[in-house]
Amino acid sequence: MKTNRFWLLLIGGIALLATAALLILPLFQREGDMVYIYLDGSQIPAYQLPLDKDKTLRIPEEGAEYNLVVIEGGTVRVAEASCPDQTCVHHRPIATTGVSIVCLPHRMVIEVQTAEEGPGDLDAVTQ
Amino acid sequence: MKTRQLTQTAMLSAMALVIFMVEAQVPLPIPVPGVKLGLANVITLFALWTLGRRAAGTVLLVRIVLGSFVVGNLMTMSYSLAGGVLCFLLMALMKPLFSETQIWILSVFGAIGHNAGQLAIAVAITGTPSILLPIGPVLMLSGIVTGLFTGLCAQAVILHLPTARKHGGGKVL
Repeated sequence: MKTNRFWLLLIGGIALLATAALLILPLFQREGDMVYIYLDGSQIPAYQLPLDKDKTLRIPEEGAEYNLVVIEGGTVRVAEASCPDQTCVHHRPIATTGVSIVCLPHRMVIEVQTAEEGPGDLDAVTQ
Repeated sequence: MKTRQLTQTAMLSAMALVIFMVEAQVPLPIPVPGVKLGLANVITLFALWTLGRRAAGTVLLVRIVLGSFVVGNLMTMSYSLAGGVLCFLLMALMKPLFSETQIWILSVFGAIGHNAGQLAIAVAITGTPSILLPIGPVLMLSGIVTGLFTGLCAQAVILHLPTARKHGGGKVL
């Protein structure tokens, strides 16, 4: 039987690592200028949009299940979603690389990248 | 399976299901997918401790399958299953390492396992491994906090219900 002390140190270590990761992450974030939207793991070419042009998208355009994505004032957010959990709607607007808005029920991920960077190597991973 | 054990398993399943459904109606205002209190895990822990592994596994599966029919869909069921099964396996395997007053520690590992399972299946379903980095550490931390909470609840119940321990019959497997 290990002592509480042993387990607390182990759990504390895990917590410390996670906190460190959270603190370090923003250092690698850069201002992005393109919005990339992924459905089912692949980037949809129609959904590569400049971040500086205000736009509202219904994804998909038809059907009862949808997300309303709003690009506004250099940030992107989800204004409405037909899913019950509304996690993506509560997510704060994003404008930097390294964070994404995820809608699990609709398998949609929204990312911001710099134009040079492009949609990243996600396609390579999923293909 | 003895009658007493059958009825206890059924009763705990029903309680877990109700807790699961009530919790689904009260979303936490944290904008990270997968962060939740996981109160139903109190029941899983209780079953694991008093009735044994097989009964606890039954309670867990009944709760997830029926719960997903009531408040979710096939998609949410796959998340619940991935999280629930990983949490259960981790706790069942690690249980011998802990005493009765260390249930709260076991619960933390269960919660971390639960969140890791959910994150893994989220990456598999959305096909975007890039969500690992921003969400992973948050889920890790939230698992520690929620696991602590549910574990302390379960431990309080187990320690204050000596009859549950006695009649539960302890080991099943």
